[in-house]
Amino acid sequence: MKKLCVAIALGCAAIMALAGCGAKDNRTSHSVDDLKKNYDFQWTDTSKPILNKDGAKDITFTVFSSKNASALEYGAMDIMDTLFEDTNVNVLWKQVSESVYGEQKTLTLGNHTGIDAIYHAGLSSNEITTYGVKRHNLLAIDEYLDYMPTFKSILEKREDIKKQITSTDGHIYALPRVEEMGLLQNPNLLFLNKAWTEAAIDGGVNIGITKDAVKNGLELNADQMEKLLTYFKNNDMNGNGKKNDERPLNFVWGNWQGNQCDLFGMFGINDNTEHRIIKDGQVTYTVLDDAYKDACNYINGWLENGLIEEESLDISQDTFLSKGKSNPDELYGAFYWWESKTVVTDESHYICCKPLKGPQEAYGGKYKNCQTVCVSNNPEISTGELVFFKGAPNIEVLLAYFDRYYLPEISAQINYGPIGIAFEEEKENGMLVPKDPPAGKTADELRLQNAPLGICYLTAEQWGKTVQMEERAQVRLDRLKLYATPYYDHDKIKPIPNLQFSQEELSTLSRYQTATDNYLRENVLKWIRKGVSDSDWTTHKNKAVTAAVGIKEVTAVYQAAYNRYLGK
Amino acid sequence: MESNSYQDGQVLESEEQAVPASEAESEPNAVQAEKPSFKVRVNELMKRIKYSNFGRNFRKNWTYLLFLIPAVVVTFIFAYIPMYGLLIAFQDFVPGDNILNGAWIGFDNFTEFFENYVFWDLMGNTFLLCILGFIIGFPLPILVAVMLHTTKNKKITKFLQTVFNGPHFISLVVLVGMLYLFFGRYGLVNNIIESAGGERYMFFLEKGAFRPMYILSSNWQDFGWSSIIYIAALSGVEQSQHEAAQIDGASRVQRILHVDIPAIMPIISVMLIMSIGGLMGVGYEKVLLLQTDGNIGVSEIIATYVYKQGIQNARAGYATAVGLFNSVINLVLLIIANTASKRFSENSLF
Repeated sequence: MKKLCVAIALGCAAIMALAGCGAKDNRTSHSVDDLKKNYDFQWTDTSKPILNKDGAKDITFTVFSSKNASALEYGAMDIMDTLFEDTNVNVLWKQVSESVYGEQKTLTLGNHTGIDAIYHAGLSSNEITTYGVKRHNLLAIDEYLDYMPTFKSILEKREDIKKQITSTDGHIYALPRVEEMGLLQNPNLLFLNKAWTEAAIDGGVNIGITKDAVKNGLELNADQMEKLLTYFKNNDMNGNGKKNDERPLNFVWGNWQGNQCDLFGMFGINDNTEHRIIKDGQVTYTVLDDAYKDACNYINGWLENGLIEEESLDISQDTFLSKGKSNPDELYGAFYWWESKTVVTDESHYICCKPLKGPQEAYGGKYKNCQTVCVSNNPEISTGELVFFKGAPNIEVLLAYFDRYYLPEISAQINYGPIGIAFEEEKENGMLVPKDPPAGKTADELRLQNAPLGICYLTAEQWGKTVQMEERAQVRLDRLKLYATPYYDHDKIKPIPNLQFSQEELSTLSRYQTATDNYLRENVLKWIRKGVSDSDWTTHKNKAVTAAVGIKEVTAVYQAAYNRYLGK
Repeated sequence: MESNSYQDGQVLESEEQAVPASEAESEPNAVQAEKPSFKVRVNELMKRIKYSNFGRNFRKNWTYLLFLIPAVVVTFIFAYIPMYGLLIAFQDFVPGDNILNGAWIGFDNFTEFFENYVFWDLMGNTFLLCILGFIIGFPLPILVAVMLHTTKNKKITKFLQTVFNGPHFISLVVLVGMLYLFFGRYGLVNNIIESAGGERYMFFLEKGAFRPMYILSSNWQDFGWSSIIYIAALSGVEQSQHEAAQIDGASRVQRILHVDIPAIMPIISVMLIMSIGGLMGVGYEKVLLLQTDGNIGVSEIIATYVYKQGIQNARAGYATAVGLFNSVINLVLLIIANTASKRFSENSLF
């Protein structure tokens, strides 16, 4: 009995001891003067090392980060070796897979002993406010901007970036990723099957255009498109003997690109998946516009007649892509997507069209000149990429180190992969030139494996000067310039930038967001599938602005934040 | 049983303690007018415990009680210690805060939830999903067990039982994947519907299809597994009772109704109480996997709301409050079911 008691007591003691000895941070923090004296700390000249060799030995940093499954450990990446050689800053990466990171993020933010920073943090503005403004766990980076010459000059040049990353208390808690290629604003492009269209014209579909006109940049109105799609539906276009396996018009409902939103452009609505946009400086919900009702009813007509493949409403991206590629017979008559190459086997079979024009006679010709596109709220600046913890030792050195990531050539290598793998060793006209991937590997695979991604600064001024754009991006950019960007009024319609909310605003948002999101998700789909009657529409317009849905409250919060962003 | 005798012992012990304590005080006052020393009092107490019912029981059964230790320790560590985390339901909690010393906000989280417009929708959706699942899912395993038990060919019984157990081991994600394959627009079910002359039906976008799909797939997955306990109970029915009934001329159905069912009634009522106690405790995973824009009006339940608020919006305190509220409902249901069962059938959990 006595022995047993002792055993239990010992066991308990062991458990207590284990629980008690969390990791302790034993690293010493040096003052900047000490760092300068002992380790030749310098940050002004970005071409010279930040520390000397002793510094590389004595001072280490631990950065927590998620990485995608196919990426190498960051410590084993060429670009990280290059950075270490250039700076003598020794960064140890503590990495978890992306799938695990979601759970570990909160834990790490709560208890960050021994961790100095989180790379690929992916913090929402809500989280930045919670951990930065409210609990002061995060380092206010703006107080150390002097140690970050590159980043500081970026902020001086780009007031808009500064505004997007500055929290409501005036501090900056996270470093951004800036990749401005101009690809994100209008996520969709309309592709049309060339052979099928020509066959339809041959088959007697009178849409007022000849076969010669069927090429990139074709402009169709809703009526013409309807005739074409009807023909696609009723005939065995791919000639496999089955009349009903053709899918006239396709998209992936609610996806971030290749979604349904461009269809609303026929009615002059710049919709996006959040249905929220800035119109004449006002935060506006597109679903309150009366044109939205007509659009829903019109699109519902296409859906009911099978002109829009009904599976588009609940198809997954993977199924969409495999349906486009795997079959020996082409199935898609037309589709909305980012590009055509990933969707179909032979890109040349599809032409890229201008946005559809509205119906010419229906609705009294009200929408006959409407022709616009989806304007998405996907910002090209992501705000919560890298955060530092308050009280991390020698943080000035780490900040100076990450500042190097914003140098153009480093940024390109962070984003695409190192010189020698992603870029040619030899520069062309002072530009980094993308290198062809070795046989059996795609550029995407190579990039995921060798590029850490994360914070970088690549803007319009770098493309064509320090870095040459990769080919696929260039193709898409050219198409956008012709078939999307000119089709909306850039002064009148603006996407919603990254906004910073105060704590009260955030609690208002979280109070109403579930109700608002669920209401819109449910109803927009219902209108498209079943149509919307005038009385339903009146009910909706009355209900949407009540507190039960909360559109009014959410709009007010966004408007206030947007006004602050504008500096009003 | 052991825990019962333990509890009884405790009750007795405290009663006994109360009575002699007053005697012990009055005696020394009269004779010596001096309080007994601490050591004496402790000795007396030990003696009293030693000869009380509890002490006697304990000494007799301590080896058996020893076997309980792992269970008690595990329950304590994993069920009772984490319970202090419930405190964050009353706090404006941010991970990393000290739970015992957090930002107390009283019942604000609860008030916010009750005043939220989604409250009644969530309650209704959760309740309907659970109650319908319960109505179909509870009797089904009993029926299956009785069916299997009365089948004369034992080989077929064994085979069927194995087949029925199979689906239980399919993971949720795979199950939902199967649903998408079978019930998708170009899935097997729709192909059959079309070849029978019907219209293809969008199972995943129709509000009305969510509950049947969710409930029936869950029951399909679990009816075999849940019937195991009833089969075990049925095999304990004495054969002589059946023989007696047969001699009295009872038909097979009559034997089921008057011999088998009464025999497993205690198990049925215990299972009933337990499943009512867990009625509102539906998991969020499968609902979330089946959730689409089309059915979100009926598929947003308390569990998915907790997930969205707690994980996606990082509002741990609020989510805990909502979860706690859900657990309280469960507890109330459990107590109601238990009391009702005690009154009507004399079977109860506690």
